[in-house]
Amino acid sequence: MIGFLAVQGVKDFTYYEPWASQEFANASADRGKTLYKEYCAQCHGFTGKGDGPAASGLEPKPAIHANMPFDKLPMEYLYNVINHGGVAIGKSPNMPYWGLTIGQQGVADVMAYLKVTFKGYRT
Amino acid sequence: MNVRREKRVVGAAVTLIMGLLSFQDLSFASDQSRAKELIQQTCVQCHRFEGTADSRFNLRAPDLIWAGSKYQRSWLIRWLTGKEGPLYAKGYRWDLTDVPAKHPMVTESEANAIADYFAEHNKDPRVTVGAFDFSKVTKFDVTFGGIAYKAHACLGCHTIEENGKLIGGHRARLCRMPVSGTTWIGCTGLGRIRRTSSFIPGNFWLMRPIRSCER
Repeated sequence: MIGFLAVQGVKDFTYYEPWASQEFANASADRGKTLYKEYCAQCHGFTGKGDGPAASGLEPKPAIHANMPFDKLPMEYLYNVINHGGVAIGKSPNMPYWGLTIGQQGVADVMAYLKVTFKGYRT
Repeated sequence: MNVRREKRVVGAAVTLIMGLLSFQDLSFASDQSRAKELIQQTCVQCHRFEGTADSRFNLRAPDLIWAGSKYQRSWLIRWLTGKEGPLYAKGYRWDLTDVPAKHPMVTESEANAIADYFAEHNKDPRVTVGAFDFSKVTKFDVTFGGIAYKAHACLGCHTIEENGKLIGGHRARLCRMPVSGTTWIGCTGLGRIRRTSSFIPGNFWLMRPIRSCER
Protein backbone atom coordinates (compact mmCIF):
# COMPACT_ATOMS: atom_id res chain seq x y z
CA MET A 1 0.00 0.00 0.00
CA ILE A 2 2.79 2.41 1.01
CA GLY A 3 4.77 1.41 -2.08
CA PHE A 4 1.76 2.03 -4.26
CA LEU A 5 1.21 5.48 -2.76
CA ALA A 6 4.91 6.31 -2.99
CA VAL A 7 5.00 5.89 -6.75
CA GLN A 8 1.83 7.82 -7.40
CA GLY A 9 3.54 11.20 -7.13
CA VAL A 10 1.73 14.39 -6.24
CA LYS A 11 -0.42 16.07 -8.80
CA ASP A 12 -0.26 19.85 -8.90
CA PHE A 13 2.69 19.93 -6.49
CA THR A 14 3.31 23.47 -5.31
CA TYR A 15 6.97 24.31 -5.44
CA TYR A 16 8.44 26.32 -2.62
CA GLU A 17 9.51 29.75 -3.76
CA PRO A 18 12.10 31.20 -1.39
CA TRP A 19 11.49 34.72 -2.70
CA ALA A 20 7.93 34.49 -1.38
CA SER A 21 9.15 33.66 2.14
CA GLN A 22 9.18 35.82 5.26
CA GLU A 23 12.90 36.54 4.84
CA PHE A 24 12.16 38.27 1.56
CA ALA A 25 9.23 40.16 3.06
CA ASN A 26 11.67 41.43 5.70
CA ALA A 27 14.52 42.11 3.26
CA SER A 28 16.62 45.19 3.99
CA ALA A 29 18.69 46.93 1.33
CA ASP A 30 20.73 48.57 4.12
CA ARG A 31 21.76 45.23 5.55
CA GLY A 32 22.32 44.04 2.00
CA LYS A 33 24.71 46.93 1.42
CA THR A 34 26.86 45.82 4.37
CA LEU A 35 26.89 42.23 3.11
CA TYR A 36 27.72 43.38 -0.40
CA LYS A 37 30.71 45.30 0.91
CA GLU A 38 31.92 42.35 3.00
CA TYR A 39 31.45 39.53 0.54
CA CYS A 40 30.54 40.61 -3.00
CA ALA A 41 32.74 43.66 -3.46
CA GLN A 42 35.99 41.68 -3.27
CA CYS A 43 35.23 40.46 -6.82
CA HIS A 44 32.44 42.70 -8.12
CA GLY A 45 33.89 45.92 -6.68
CA PHE A 46 32.30 48.43 -4.31
CA THR A 47 30.46 50.13 -7.14
CA GLY A 48 29.66 46.96 -9.08
CA LYS A 49 32.22 47.58 -11.83
CA GLY A 50 33.75 44.13 -11.51
CA ASP A 51 37.02 45.63 -10.24
CA GLY A 52 37.39 44.13 -6.77
CA PRO A 53 40.86 42.98 -5.65
CA ALA A 54 40.16 39.32 -6.47
CA ALA A 55 38.94 40.08 -10.01
CA SER A 56 42.34 40.41 -11.69
CA GLY A 57 43.18 36.73 -11.23
CA LEU A 58 39.79 35.37 -12.26
CA GLU A 59 38.72 33.96 -15.60
CA PRO A 60 35.96 34.50 -16.59
CA LYS A 61 35.80 37.94 -15.02
CA PRO A 62 33.15 38.70 -12.38
CA ALA A 63 29.83 40.13 -13.59
CA ILE A 64 29.69 43.91 -13.88
CA HIS A 65 26.69 44.69 -11.70
CA ALA A 66 26.77 48.35 -12.63
CA ASN A 67 25.59 47.37 -16.14
CA MET A 68 22.84 45.00 -15.05
CA PRO A 69 19.18 45.95 -14.58
CA PHE A 70 18.62 43.85 -11.48
CA ASP A 71 15.02 44.94 -11.04
CA LYS A 72 14.27 43.32 -14.40
CA LEU A 73 16.01 40.00 -13.74
CA PRO A 74 13.83 37.05 -12.65
CA MET A 75 13.87 36.41 -8.90
CA GLU A 76 14.54 32.72 -9.47
CA TYR A 77 17.70 33.48 -11.47
CA LEU A 78 19.02 35.93 -8.90
CA TYR A 79 18.21 33.68 -5.98
CA ASN A 80 19.85 30.66 -7.57
CA VAL A 81 23.06 32.41 -8.55
CA ILE A 82 23.52 33.95 -5.11
CA ASN A 83 22.26 31.09 -2.99
CA HIS A 84 23.59 28.15 -5.03
CA GLY A 85 26.53 29.77 -6.84
CA GLY A 86 27.56 30.26 -10.46
CA VAL A 87 27.52 26.57 -11.36
CA ALA A 88 23.79 26.38 -10.56
CA ILE A 89 22.99 28.61 -13.51
CA GLY A 90 25.76 27.49 -15.85
CA LYS A 91 28.19 30.27 -14.95
CA SER A 92 31.63 30.32 -13.35
CA PRO A 93 32.31 27.97 -10.42
CA ASN A 94 34.36 30.81 -8.96
CA MET A 95 31.09 32.46 -7.92
CA PRO A 96 30.56 30.83 -4.49
CA TYR A 97 27.28 29.54 -3.08
CA TRP A 98 26.64 32.24 -0.54
CA GLY A 99 23.53 30.73 1.05
CA LEU A 100 25.65 28.76 3.54
CA THR A 101 27.61 31.80 4.57
CA ILE A 102 25.05 34.60 4.72
CA GLY A 103 21.86 32.58 5.25
CA GLN A 104 18.46 33.08 3.65
CA GLN A 105 17.97 36.49 5.22
CA GLY A 106 21.36 37.53 3.87
CA VAL A 107 20.49 36.35 0.37
CA ALA A 108 17.21 38.28 0.53
CA ASP A 109 19.00 41.41 1.81
CA VAL A 110 21.66 41.29 -0.91
CA MET A 111 19.00 40.84 -3.59
CA ALA A 112 17.13 43.86 -2.21
CA TYR A 113 20.34 45.91 -2.33
CA LEU A 114 21.14 44.83 -5.89
CA LYS A 115 17.65 45.74 -7.08
CA VAL A 116 17.65 49.23 -5.60
CA THR A 117 21.26 50.00 -6.51
CA PHE A 118 22.02 48.64 -9.96
CA LYS A 119 19.50 49.39 -12.68
CA GLY A 120 21.59 49.00 -15.84
CA TYR A 121 22.99 51.46 -18.37
CA ARG A 122 20.19 54.00 -18.33
CA THR A 123 20.58 55.16 -14.73
CA MET B 1 96.85 13.46 43.64
CA ASN B 2 95.58 12.37 40.25
CA VAL B 3 92.19 11.65 41.73
CA ARG B 4 92.04 15.17 43.13
CA ARG B 5 93.04 16.64 39.75
CA GLU B 6 90.40 14.56 37.99
CA LYS B 7 87.80 15.78 40.48
CA ARG B 8 88.82 19.37 39.74
CA VAL B 9 88.59 18.78 35.98
CA VAL B 10 85.18 17.14 36.32
CA GLY B 11 84.03 19.95 38.61
CA ALA B 12 85.20 22.56 36.13
CA ALA B 13 83.50 20.75 33.27
CA VAL B 14 80.23 20.52 35.19
CA THR B 15 80.44 24.20 36.08
CA LEU B 16 81.15 25.09 32.46
CA ILE B 17 78.24 23.00 31.18
CA MET B 18 75.88 24.44 33.79
CA GLY B 19 77.10 27.91 32.87
CA LEU B 20 76.53 27.31 29.19
CA LEU B 21 73.08 25.88 29.83
CA SER B 22 72.07 28.80 32.00
CA PHE B 23 73.50 31.18 29.37
CA GLN B 24 71.31 29.46 26.78
CA ASP B 25 68.33 29.90 29.08
CA LEU B 26 69.21 33.53 29.59
CA SER B 27 69.71 33.97 25.87
CA PHE B 28 66.33 32.34 25.14
CA ALA B 29 64.70 34.46 27.82
CA SER B 30 66.23 37.61 26.38
CA ASP B 31 65.09 36.62 22.84
CA GLN B 32 61.61 36.02 24.21
CA SER B 33 61.52 39.37 25.93
CA ARG B 34 62.75 41.04 22.72
CA ALA B 35 60.00 39.23 20.78
CA LYS B 36 57.41 40.31 23.35
CA GLU B 37 58.65 43.88 23.13
CA LEU B 38 58.45 43.84 19.32
CA ILE B 39 54.96 42.35 19.35
CA GLN B 40 53.66 44.71 22.01
CA GLN B 41 55.23 47.82 20.55
CA THR B 42 55.25 47.24 16.79
CA CYS B 43 52.95 44.40 15.70
CA VAL B 44 50.00 45.67 17.73
CA GLN B 45 50.08 48.92 15.78
CA CYS B 46 48.25 46.97 13.04
CA HIS B 47 47.47 43.47 14.33
CA ARG B 48 44.93 42.52 16.97
CA PHE B 49 45.40 39.56 19.30
CA GLU B 50 41.75 39.03 20.18
CA GLY B 51 40.25 36.32 17.98
CA THR B 52 36.85 38.01 17.91
CA ALA B 53 34.82 38.25 14.72
CA ASP B 54 34.93 41.61 13.02
CA SER B 55 34.70 43.09 9.58
CA ARG B 56 37.97 43.38 7.67
CA PHE B 57 37.02 47.01 7.20
CA ASN B 58 37.42 47.57 10.95
CA LEU B 59 40.87 45.97 10.99
CA ARG B 60 44.26 47.00 9.65
CA ALA B 61 45.79 43.54 9.38
CA PRO B 62 44.89 39.93 10.28
CA ASP B 63 44.25 38.98 13.90
CA LEU B 64 47.26 37.09 15.27
CA ILE B 65 45.65 35.44 18.29
CA TRP B 66 46.47 32.00 16.87
CA ALA B 67 49.61 32.96 14.96
CA GLY B 68 51.46 30.00 16.48
CA SER B 69 49.12 27.64 14.62
CA LYS B 70 48.27 29.82 11.67
CA TYR B 71 51.70 30.16 10.11
CA GLN B 72 54.24 27.58 9.17
CA ARG B 73 57.41 28.57 10.98
CA SER B 74 59.71 28.64 7.93
CA TRP B 75 57.19 30.75 6.01
CA LEU B 76 56.76 33.13 8.95
CA ILE B 77 60.51 33.71 9.22
CA ARG B 78 60.78 34.36 5.48
CA TRP B 79 57.79 36.72 5.71
CA LEU B 80 59.16 38.66 8.69
CA THR B 81 62.58 39.02 7.09
CA GLY B 82 61.12 40.31 3.83
CA LYS B 83 61.80 37.22 1.70
CA GLU B 84 58.17 36.55 0.72
CA GLY B 85 56.06 38.36 -1.84
CA PRO B 86 52.90 40.29 -0.90
CA LEU B 87 49.95 38.28 0.37
CA TYR B 88 47.28 40.61 -0.91
CA ALA B 89 47.26 42.08 -4.40
CA LYS B 90 45.93 45.42 -3.17
CA GLY B 91 46.84 45.25 0.50
CA TYR B 92 44.79 43.84 3.35
CA ARG B 93 42.64 46.97 3.40
CA TRP B 94 42.01 47.02 -0.32
CA ASP B 95 39.36 49.67 0.14
CA LEU B 96 42.08 52.12 1.24
CA THR B 97 44.96 51.27 -1.06
CA ASP B 98 45.64 49.96 -4.55
CA VAL B 99 49.13 48.70 -3.83
CA PRO B 100 50.25 46.01 -1.42
CA ALA B 101 51.70 47.46 1.76
CA LYS B 102 55.25 46.43 2.61
CA HIS B 103 55.30 44.52 5.89
CA PRO B 104 57.92 45.79 8.37
CA MET B 105 61.04 43.64 8.43
CA VAL B 106 63.00 42.31 11.38
CA THR B 107 66.35 40.52 11.60
CA GLU B 108 66.64 36.74 11.27
CA SER B 109 67.17 36.32 15.02
CA GLU B 110 64.24 38.58 15.85
CA ALA B 111 62.07 36.61 13.40
CA ASN B 112 63.08 33.37 15.09
CA ALA B 113 62.33 34.88 18.49
CA ILE B 114 58.88 36.01 17.30
CA ALA B 115 58.18 32.55 15.86
CA ASP B 116 59.24 30.99 19.18
CA TYR B 117 57.02 33.43 21.05
CA PHE B 118 54.01 32.66 18.87
CA ALA B 119 54.67 28.92 19.20
CA GLU B 120 54.62 29.24 22.96
CA HIS B 121 51.86 31.79 23.49
CA ASN B 122 49.61 31.76 20.43
CA LYS B 123 48.79 28.13 19.63
CA ASP B 124 45.18 27.34 18.79
CA PRO B 125 44.20 24.44 21.05
CA ARG B 126 41.62 23.30 18.46
CA VAL B 127 44.31 22.55 15.90
CA THR B 128 45.76 19.08 16.17
CA VAL B 129 49.20 18.92 14.61
CA GLY B 130 49.54 15.78 12.53
CA ALA B 131 45.77 15.15 12.43
CA PHE B 132 46.02 14.91 8.67
CA ASP B 133 48.25 12.01 7.73
CA PHE B 134 50.31 12.94 4.68
CA SER B 135 51.65 9.40 4.35
CA LYS B 136 48.16 8.28 3.32
CA VAL B 137 47.60 10.89 0.61
CA THR B 138 46.84 9.16 -2.69
CA LYS B 139 47.09 10.54 -6.22
CA PHE B 140 43.30 10.55 -6.29
CA ASP B 141 43.16 12.61 -3.08
CA VAL B 142 45.35 15.28 -4.62
CA THR B 143 43.35 15.36 -7.85
CA PHE B 144 40.10 15.42 -5.91
CA GLY B 145 41.43 18.18 -3.65
CA GLY B 146 42.15 20.27 -6.73
CA ILE B 147 38.71 19.62 -8.21
CA ALA B 148 37.01 20.42 -4.90
CA TYR B 149 39.06 23.60 -4.50
CA LYS B 150 37.88 24.80 -7.90
CA ALA B 151 34.32 23.45 -7.74
CA HIS B 152 33.66 24.98 -4.32
CA ALA B 153 34.82 28.42 -5.40
CA CYS B 154 37.88 28.55 -3.12
CA LEU B 155 39.71 29.73 -6.21
CA GLY B 156 37.38 32.72 -6.38
CA CYS B 157 39.29 34.39 -3.56
CA HIS B 158 42.41 32.37 -2.84
CA THR B 159 45.32 31.90 -5.18
CA ILE B 160 47.27 28.68 -5.46
CA GLU B 161 50.22 27.51 -7.55
CA GLU B 162 49.39 25.27 -10.46
CA ASN B 163 52.12 24.21 -12.91
CA GLY B 164 54.37 26.91 -11.52
CA LYS B 165 51.80 29.63 -12.07
CA LEU B 166 49.72 31.46 -9.47
CA ILE B 167 46.03 31.07 -10.32
CA GLY B 168 42.82 32.30 -8.70
CA GLY B 169 41.37 35.47 -7.21
CA HIS B 170 44.08 37.69 -5.81
CA ARG B 171 42.47 38.39 -2.52
CA ALA B 172 44.74 36.21 -0.44
CA ARG B 173 47.28 33.54 -1.03
CA LEU B 174 46.49 30.20 0.41
CA CYS B 175 48.50 27.09 -0.11
CA ARG B 176 51.88 28.67 -0.63
CA MET B 177 51.60 30.08 2.83
CA PRO B 178 50.89 27.18 5.13
CA VAL B 179 52.59 24.43 3.21
CA SER B 180 55.76 25.80 1.76
CA GLY B 181 56.59 25.09 -1.86
CA THR B 182 53.68 22.78 -2.45
CA THR B 183 50.72 23.08 -4.72
CA TRP B 184 47.69 20.86 -4.71
CA ILE B 185 49.17 18.38 -2.26
CA GLY B 186 48.87 20.96 0.48
CA CYS B 187 45.26 21.46 -0.41
CA THR B 188 44.19 17.85 -0.41
CA GLY B 189 42.60 18.40 2.97
CA LEU B 190 40.26 20.87 1.33
CA GLY B 191 38.45 17.96 -0.27
CA ARG B 192 37.38 17.07 3.22
CA ILE B 193 36.21 20.49 4.28
CA ARG B 194 32.87 20.75 5.92
CA ARG B 195 31.27 23.95 6.99
CA THR B 196 32.14 24.23 10.63
CA SER B 197 30.75 26.22 13.50
CA SER B 198 34.18 27.77 13.85
CA PHE B 199 33.71 29.90 10.75
CA ILE B 200 34.29 33.49 11.68
CA PRO B 201 34.28 36.13 8.94
CA GLY B 202 37.76 37.55 8.70
CA ASN B 203 39.24 34.58 10.49
CA PHE B 204 41.07 31.68 8.96
CA TRP B 205 38.37 29.13 8.41
CA LEU B 206 39.86 27.50 5.36
CA MET B 207 43.31 27.38 6.83
CA ARG B 208 42.48 25.07 9.69
CA PRO B 209 42.22 21.78 7.82
CA ILE B 210 45.53 22.52 6.16
CA ARG B 211 47.31 23.75 9.21
CA SER B 212 46.35 20.60 11.01
CA CYS B 213 48.55 18.85 8.42
CA GLU B 214 51.68 20.61 9.50
CA ARG B 215 54.35 18.43 10.87
